[in-house]
Amino acid sequence: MYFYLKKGFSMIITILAVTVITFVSFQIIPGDPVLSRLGVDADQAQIEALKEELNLNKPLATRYFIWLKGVFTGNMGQSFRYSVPVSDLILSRISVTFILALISLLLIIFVGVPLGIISARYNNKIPGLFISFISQIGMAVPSFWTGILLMFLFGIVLKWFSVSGYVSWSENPLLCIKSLTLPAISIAIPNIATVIRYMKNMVLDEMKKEYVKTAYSKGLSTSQVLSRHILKNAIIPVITILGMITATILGGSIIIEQVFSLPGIGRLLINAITTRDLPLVQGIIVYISVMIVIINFIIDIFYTIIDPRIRFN
Amino acid sequence: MKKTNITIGAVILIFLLAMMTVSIFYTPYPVTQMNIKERFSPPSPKHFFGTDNFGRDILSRVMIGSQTAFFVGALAVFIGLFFGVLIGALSGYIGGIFDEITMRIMDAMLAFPGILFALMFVAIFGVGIKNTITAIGIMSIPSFARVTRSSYLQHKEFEYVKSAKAKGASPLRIIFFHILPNVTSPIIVSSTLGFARAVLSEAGLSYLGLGVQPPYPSWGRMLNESQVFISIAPWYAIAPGVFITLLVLGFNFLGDGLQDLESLK
Amino acid sequence: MNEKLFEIKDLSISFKKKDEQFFAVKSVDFDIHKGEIVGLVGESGCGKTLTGLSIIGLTPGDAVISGQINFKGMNLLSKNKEERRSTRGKSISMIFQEPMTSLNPLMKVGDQIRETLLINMPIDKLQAKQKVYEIMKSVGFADVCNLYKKYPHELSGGMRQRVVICIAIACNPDLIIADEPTTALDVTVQAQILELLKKINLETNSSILFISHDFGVIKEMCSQVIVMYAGYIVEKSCIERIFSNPIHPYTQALLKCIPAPEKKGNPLFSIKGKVPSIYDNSEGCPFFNRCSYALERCRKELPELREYEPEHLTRCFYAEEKNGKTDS
Repeated sequence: MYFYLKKGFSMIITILAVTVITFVSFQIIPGDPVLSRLGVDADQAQIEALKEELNLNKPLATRYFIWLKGVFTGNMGQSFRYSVPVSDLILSRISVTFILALISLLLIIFVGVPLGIISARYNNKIPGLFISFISQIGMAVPSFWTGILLMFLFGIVLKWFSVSGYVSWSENPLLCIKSLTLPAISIAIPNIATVIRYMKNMVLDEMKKEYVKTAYSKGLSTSQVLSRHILKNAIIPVITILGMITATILGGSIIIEQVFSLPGIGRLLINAITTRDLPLVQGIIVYISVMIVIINFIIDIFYTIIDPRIRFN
Repeated sequence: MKKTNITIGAVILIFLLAMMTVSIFYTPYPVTQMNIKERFSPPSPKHFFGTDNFGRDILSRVMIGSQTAFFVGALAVFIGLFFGVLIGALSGYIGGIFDEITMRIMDAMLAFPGILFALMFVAIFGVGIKNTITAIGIMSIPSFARVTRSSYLQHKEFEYVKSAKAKGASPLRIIFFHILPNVTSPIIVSSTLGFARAVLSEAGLSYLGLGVQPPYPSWGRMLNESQVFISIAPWYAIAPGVFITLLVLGFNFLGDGLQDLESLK
Repeated sequence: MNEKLFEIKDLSISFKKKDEQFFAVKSVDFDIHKGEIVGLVGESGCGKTLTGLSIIGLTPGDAVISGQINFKGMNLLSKNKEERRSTRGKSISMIFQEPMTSLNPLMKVGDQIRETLLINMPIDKLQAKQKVYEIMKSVGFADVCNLYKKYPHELSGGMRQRVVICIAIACNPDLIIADEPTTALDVTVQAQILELLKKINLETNSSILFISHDFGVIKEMCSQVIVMYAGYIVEKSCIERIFSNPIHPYTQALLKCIPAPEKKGNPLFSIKGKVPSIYDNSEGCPFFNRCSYALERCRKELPELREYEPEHLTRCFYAEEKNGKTDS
C-alpha cells in the first residue's frame, strides 16, 4: 500500500514539474506575443486590452496558476489561429491519435514478441539470423519513408487502401481501422525491431537458468518449455520497455500523421508550430507529456501486479 | 560472427564518407541547376537517380545532402557527448544527492519522446540548422550521461583509483585524468549509436519542415518534397530514403559490433 | 542380485573446439540395478555431472556422445528426440544442485509438481492435484493445501529441494539422478534430505544415481561407488570395500578429506594441485602430477581399468605392481 502511495505521489510531482517546465519554456520566447499578434501598427488601447485578456500584467507565478487551473478545467486559452478554445481542438483530434497508437501497440506486441522468441529459439541458425537481419533494417529505416513507400505501393499501385481520408470510429469502425493500417505499420516497424532484440536477449538469458533444466527433465518439449515457462519470465522485463515504446509510438505518430494527413494531435501540433500558435503548442505538449507520465505510472503498477516477487516485498 | 558487424558497418560508412568528401569537390551536376525540359526523368545513365520536379539531378542533391547528415550528426553527437560525459562522470563519481537528482532529470528526459522535445525547442527558438543541431544535441545528453555514469560507478572502486587517491590526486584530476581514458569504449559505442539516432532525428525534423532549411540540403526535406510527386516520379522518394537507411545501418552495425567486442573482454 | 536396469557401456562425451575433439567423459562403464543407490564421486570437472545428464538426455547441444546407455535392454543413445523425451519425468528424473533457482519463480510450486503428472500420465487436472497433495505429504510437508499455492521465493532452500524431489518422484521413475542435491543446503537440512531420499528408495524401489564430491555423503547413501577423475573411472566397487580398502591414490586422498571428530585440531587435508582441464590432452595417467605414488610409466601410459579383487576395479599401475600383477 505504502508502495503505491509513494508511486502516486511521485507521479503527481512529475506532472507538476512537467507543467512548470512547459509553462516557463514558453515564457522565454523571444519577441512580444502581443505585437506579433496584433501587428506593429496596433494602437495602445488594443494592446492594453489584449494584455489584460492574456493576463500579461500579472506576475509569472500567478499566470502559471491561472494557466494550470485552465489545464485541469480544460480551459487552456484560445488558440491564436482558430480562435476556439484549445481544449476543443485537442479533444476532437485525440481519438485519432489514440486509435492509431493503440493499433500500433497491438501490432508491436503481437508481431514483435513471437518473432523475438523465434529468433532466440533458432539463435545462430538460419531463421534466427534472418530475423536479426531484417530487424536491423527495420531499425534503420525512417518511419516516414516507410509511410511514403507503403502509401505508394499499397495505396497507389495496388490500390488496396485509399490514399487519403481518415474514417472516424463512430462512422465506421472497420474502415477506421483500415484507414489507419498503413500508418500503424509505419510506426510499428522500428519498434517491432526493438522488441525483437529485447525479447531475444531475455529469452536467451532465461534459457540458461536452472528452472529451465528442471522443466526439460519433466519431459517437456522445447515448445512447451518456451510457452509455459520461459515466456512469462521473459516478458516481464519487456513490460519495463513498454513505457519507452509508448513514448516512441506517440512521437512516431506525430510524423506519421503528417505523412498520411491524418487529423490527429500530432498534425495539429506541427501546424501550430508552423503558424506560431503558441497557446496551442503549449497545450498539446502539456497534454501529451502528462499522458506519458500517467501511462508510465500505470505500467509501473501493472508490473508489480504481474511479478509476484515484487508484490510480496 | 561478431567481426562481421564491424566490417559491414565500416564498409558502409567509408563508402558514404567517401561520397560526402567527393561531393564537396564534385557532383555530376550543379545541385541548383534546373532543367525544366528534363523534369521527372526516371533513372538513366545520364541521371543516375533521375531528376526532380525542377529537373535537378537527384544523385547530386543526394550527395550534397550527405554533408548535412554527417555535419548535423557529428555536431549533435559532440554536444551530447561533451555535456553527457561531463554530467555522467560527475554524477557517477560524486554520488549522493547530486547523483540522485541528476539521474532523475536524465531519466525524465529519456522517457520523453525525443521528437517532442525537439519540436518544443524549435517552437520556442525557431527552425534552422543551428537549432536543429542544438535540439538533437540536447536530446542526446541523457544516454551519454547514463553510460558514462555506470562506467564511473564501476571504476571508482578499482585499485588504480584508490591508489591515485592515496597519492593525493584531487577528485577532478581523478575523474578526467585517471578514469576517463579507461572508459572510452562504452562512450565510443554510444557515439556511434547516437550518431545513428541523430541522423534519423534530423531527417524527421527536416521532413516536417522544422529542421534544416534551404539553402542547406537535407535528405529528410527531399523526402517531403518528393511525396507530392510520388505517382509521377517515385524514384525521387527512393534515393534519399535509401541513403538515410544506409547511414543509420552503417552506424548501427558498427555500434553493435563494437558493443559485442566490449562484452567479450 | 536385482535386475539390471541400466547398463552404461563405453560412454564417451566430447566437445569440439577449433576442429579438435576434447573429451570430458572417457570410456565410462557401469551398471545400475533396480533399487540400487549408486554413487558417482569426484571433484568438480571430473565429468560426473555430464555422465548423469547423458543418461537423462540433457547434455548441452554441442556434446558428442558415443557408446551405449542401455535401459531395460534398449540403447537410449540410438533413440530419437521424441523417444528420449518420453523417458524423461516418467522413467528417469533428475534433481539439480541449486534449489534456489531450480523452480520457476512465477509458478505456484504445486502446479510445478502437477505439471509432471499431467505430461506423463493420463490424468486430469483435479485428480492430479489430489495426487500432488499425496506426494507432498509423502516427503514430509504439512499443510499441503496452502503450500501448493505458494511461490518458490516463499520457501526456504530445504523446502524448495523437497519440492524438486516431489517433481522427481511424481511418476515413480525407475531412476532418479541426484546431482549434488544437498551441496547448497545447510548441514541440518542436508541430513533431512538424505533421509528423505533413502526413504524414497526403500519405499518405491526407485534406483538413485547419486552424484557428489563429498565422500561423507556418499558413505551415507550408496551401496555401489564409482570414483571418477578427469573423465575416467578410476575406481569402482561396493561401499564397504571402497572404505575398507581404497586402492587408487585419488580415492585414498578423497577419503582423507572427510572431516571426522577424531581429526579435530588438525588442519583439513586437501589434495594439492587441481583437476586437469578438458583441453589438456597429455598422455599418461591424468592423476600423475598429483599422485604420491606415481611411477615413471605413469607419465606416458594410461593404466586400464582392471579387477584388483572380485567386484573391485581400479585404474592404476602402482596398484597393479603392488598386487603383483604385470602387464598382459
